Amino acid sequence: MNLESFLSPESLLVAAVLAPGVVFLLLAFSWILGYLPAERLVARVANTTFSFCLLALAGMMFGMWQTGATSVSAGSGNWLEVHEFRIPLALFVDRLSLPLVVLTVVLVGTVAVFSRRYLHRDPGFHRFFILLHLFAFGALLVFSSASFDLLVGGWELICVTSVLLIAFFQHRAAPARNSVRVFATYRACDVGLIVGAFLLHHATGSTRYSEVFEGTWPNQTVALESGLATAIGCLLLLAAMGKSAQLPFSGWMPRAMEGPTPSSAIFYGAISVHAGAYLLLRAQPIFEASPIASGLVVFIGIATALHATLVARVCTDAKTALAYSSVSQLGIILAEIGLGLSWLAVIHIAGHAVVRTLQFLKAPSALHEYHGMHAAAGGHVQATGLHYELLLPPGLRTWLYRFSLDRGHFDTLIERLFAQPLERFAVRMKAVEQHLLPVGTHAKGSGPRE
Amino acid sequence: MSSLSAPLLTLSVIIPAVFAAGLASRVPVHHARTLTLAGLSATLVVCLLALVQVLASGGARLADGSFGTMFSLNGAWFAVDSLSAVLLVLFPVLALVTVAAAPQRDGDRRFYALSLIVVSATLATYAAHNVIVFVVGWTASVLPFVVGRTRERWYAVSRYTVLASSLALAVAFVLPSTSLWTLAAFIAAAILRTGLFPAHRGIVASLGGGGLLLSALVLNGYQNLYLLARFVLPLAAREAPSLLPWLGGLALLSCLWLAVLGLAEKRPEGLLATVIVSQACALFAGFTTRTAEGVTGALLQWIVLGVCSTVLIAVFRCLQVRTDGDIRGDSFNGFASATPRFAAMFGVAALALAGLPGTLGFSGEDLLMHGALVAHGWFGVVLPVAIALNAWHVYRLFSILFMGEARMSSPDLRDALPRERISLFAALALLVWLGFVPSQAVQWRAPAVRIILGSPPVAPLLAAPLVVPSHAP
Repeated sequence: MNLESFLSPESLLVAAVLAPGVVFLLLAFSWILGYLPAERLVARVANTTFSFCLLALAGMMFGMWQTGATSVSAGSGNWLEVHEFRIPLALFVDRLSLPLVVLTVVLVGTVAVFSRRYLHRDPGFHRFFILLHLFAFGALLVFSSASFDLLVGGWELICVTSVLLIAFFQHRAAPARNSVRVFATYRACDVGLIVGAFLLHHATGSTRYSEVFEGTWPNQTVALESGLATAIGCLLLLAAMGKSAQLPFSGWMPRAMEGPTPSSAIFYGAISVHAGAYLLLRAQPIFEASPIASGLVVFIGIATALHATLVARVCTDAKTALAYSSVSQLGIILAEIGLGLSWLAVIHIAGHAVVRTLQFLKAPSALHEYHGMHAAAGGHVQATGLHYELLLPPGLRTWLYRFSLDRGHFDTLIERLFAQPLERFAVRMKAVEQHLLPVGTHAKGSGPRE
Repeated sequence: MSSLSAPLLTLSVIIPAVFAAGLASRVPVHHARTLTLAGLSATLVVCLLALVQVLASGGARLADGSFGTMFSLNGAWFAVDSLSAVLLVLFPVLALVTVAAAPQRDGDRRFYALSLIVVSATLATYAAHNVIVFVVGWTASVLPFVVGRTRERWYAVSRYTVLASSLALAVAFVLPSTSLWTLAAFIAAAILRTGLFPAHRGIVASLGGGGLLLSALVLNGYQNLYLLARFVLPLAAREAPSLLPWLGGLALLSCLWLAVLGLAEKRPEGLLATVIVSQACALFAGFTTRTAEGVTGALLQWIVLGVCSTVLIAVFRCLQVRTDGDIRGDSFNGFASATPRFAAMFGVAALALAGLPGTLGFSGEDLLMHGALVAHGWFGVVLPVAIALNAWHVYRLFSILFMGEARMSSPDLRDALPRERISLFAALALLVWLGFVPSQAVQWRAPAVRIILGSPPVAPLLAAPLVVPSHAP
């Protein structure tokens, strides 16, 4: 391979996506085999990795600018091929994914720099950086995959790193419990992505964007009949609702705040939550072919935005308030996608990710800043925020307050209408089985001695 | 039919049996593990040589060398092809990991001897070219349950596995020719040993009960799936093609049923067993799809399930011994602070079982789900739902064991010892490596897929060679 091909946009894209994955493997395997590098070395490795990724992306964009290309496709052949089922081993960036790829590298790199001091001497320092690299790899894979099948791989990696970082402070029970709850929501919604990708494959013979869609983003079309487009659109929407914390699944968002602040910033302010919006943007031709599915996107987006803005106003801690503010903005972004305002949605995602990362990273010092602001103002600063509330009748205000305090009762409803009945059913069936097919309880056999 | 250059298959069956007999003599107990590992390593080398010859022949079915045919009733006793060659290598690997990672407390001569007997019997089943050998291997592999010390173990497992073995025997000795009854008996044997509804309780209890490592080793042989892939599917395709969707439907529902029952399972070992049996039902469903995707997915997941359940059960057993059985199921145990490497290996194995990208589990589950959706349409959605539930169960189990406040009773808990670390890490490294190059694994298993989807075999008769479709085009 000569230097020219090594520095081609395709090679640079592959290098930028793979670098965090390779570093993850190195850090993880060395740790399992007993080598624990110094904090400074880990931080330097992280800085070098993300600087390298940024340089590679800059080089790739320079190459695109030189040739006037609007997209880059790297890789050929199939990662997995069985009969008619193929997972193409190909990366692809276009006007939709390029901003998100760059944003991911910049923001993960920023969080890595911030975390070096924030997590200094924390017992989980190495674990955090190992998972951060895995997350970066997963997110880059989501945004730069050339097919829905490969996107599923990155999507799952984001899910796993997300829940493991929620349980980062594993010596406490609450983060562990909340991570289990978040994992349940993720997995339930991911079924939509898996079945949706299958249906797409079944209908079009491929899940590769270039074969499923015609034209270039955002002027793409898809050859699907309306009914099938509605089914696939609804399944993909289910996946996006889980990842972007839309109603009725937004209850996992405050639970996810149990993780360390840098991970909250990168996952729930910047990158992870926007993966759902990206999925909908990528599949936009499908939604354009189905008025029902796109209408559903708008409805869920607006309902979530209203719900989240109400809940954010009654939150008593900074991170939860920020989390619901994120959910509110994500609702608006989904509404924009449903209305076909694709460019506005992309700009909204980029702006929101940057601002929210800053807010999350500053959240631990919010009290300090509050006092600083008062001191700078020379005394008491008047409270703000009570504008629209005053226009409402007192009775409705009280009802809305209670509604918001219980986060719209959605968690309670899911618990009572779905989780608890399913668990009761399982318990009853187990009892029936025990009665009909007694095979012993093994209370004695489960001990340590064989 | 061509022959192997040496009686490798006979050796692969005899070597562990000889070492088992050697252990029965006055071998000091502190040398028993070394001797067992030596026996298993020798078996693995012999199986690898057989695999190399099968690959070199392009996946053809090769009979054992001349020594192996000396005592046969009718032709060779043993033969190997692409379907069985990989399994012949995989099982000694799993046994090596199990024995290397087994806690000292389990390491008496009985444990090692039974492990070697299970290996010998399981390899005999895989390599059988003769009904008698197949049935003897099938039956001998459940020996640890039959000679179990606890009453519970007998109740839990033997009732079902011996029943399954008896049915296989009945097929071989009673039924005169190919018929629907033969097929029905084969299916019953496969269902009973896999743990499809309503036989699941016995199999779940077998893992949930005592003798964890040995029962896991027995069940990890998955001779039931081998029976299904080798005989039931081709026979059913010829005798009763309409039966397969029903069988697949039963497997899918069993998979979901077990996943739902997992919600009511409070004991960690019970939850682990439920998930493993549920995933085995998913493999069963994959085979019955008779699609290239479903069968390939099942063959890949077979490797994943074998490796993951071995690692999960070995780690669990190590923790059980270290805590003297004091593992709670209703609250967090917090072992991660004392045993972070056990936690990492358990986590990777659990998530690989759930289809973690970067491991072979991702490709295997993707193919399985694809096959189920192709074969069963909307009903196939049952499989992704069940796998999602199982994924949640294994993560819940991981949390229960390793997260939360560290238990007061286990402040001196030791992390993985070098022998445990190396053996478990090697097993997981295999999954990760194949996860990055799944096409390599698919390529290895492609001839086996062709065999399973190929033409139906001639019916097994008493002492007649088990004629199987030879490397279908």
